[in-house]
Amino acid sequence: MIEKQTYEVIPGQVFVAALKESVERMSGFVLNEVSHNQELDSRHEIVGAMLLQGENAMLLTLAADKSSAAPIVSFMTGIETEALDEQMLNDGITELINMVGGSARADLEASNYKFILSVPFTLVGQAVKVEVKKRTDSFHAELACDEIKLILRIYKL
Amino acid sequence: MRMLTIDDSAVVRRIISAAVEVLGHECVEAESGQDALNLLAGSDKIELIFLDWNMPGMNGLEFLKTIKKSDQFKHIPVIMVTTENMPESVIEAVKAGVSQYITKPFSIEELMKKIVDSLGGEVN
Repeated sequence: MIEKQTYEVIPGQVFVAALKESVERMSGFVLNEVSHNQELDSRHEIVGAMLLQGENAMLLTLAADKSSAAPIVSFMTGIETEALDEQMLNDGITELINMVGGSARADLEASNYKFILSVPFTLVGQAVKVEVKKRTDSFHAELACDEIKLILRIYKL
Repeated sequence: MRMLTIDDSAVVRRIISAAVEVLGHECVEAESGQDALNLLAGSDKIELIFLDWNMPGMNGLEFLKTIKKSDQFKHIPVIMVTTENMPESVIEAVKAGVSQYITKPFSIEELMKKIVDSLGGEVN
């Protein structure tokens, strides 16, 4: 009989480490975790997201404002911040969440935590907010480097 | 040399194109496997391909298997650049004919080293 692996606590630090690694390797910015599981500003201009499908399904999101996305995408691509259009900013944040999901999946595989990654997608607007039922377990962390601020959120589904 | 990067992410295409240009080569871009096949058919000689795995429509592995069946294109070395980092994925890609494999996230130095290795150490 196969015993189902369950996780009472979302392995948030695995995703935080994956985000730090992704941003540092792709752009050179070294993020520091400013806080986690505290009340954070929940309205943003760009939210990259993907579903982690499996026995312990989760929604993974990375939120940023354009002012935070621009320097990261600029250093990733070598394009001046002023020359970056919205599509490139959205694509950059979405590509980062894609990398975070991929890295975390590999790291969690060693602990028998298996999931399938959905295609990453982007929510954009003036004050985008992801709302989930209040009883849903979640993890959220704010990471920063100077004026850059990124919010990583994981919701157990 | 002329190279081709295939990725549905404009940011990743730009990163790869910039690295190729720094090394003194030219890079053309396609955002899907099907677009890349059309481009290959109508383009001057392509000597290296960078290939994402997960793309809408024809994915990277399907594209790879398609060109490896073609006498015209099967000799072109392919560097897979992907978030697919599980060992079984790497094995599948190698069996299908990739010559190098880079997992995202990657540093620009890693990418440039793979390009140079793929060209046998030749840099313009």
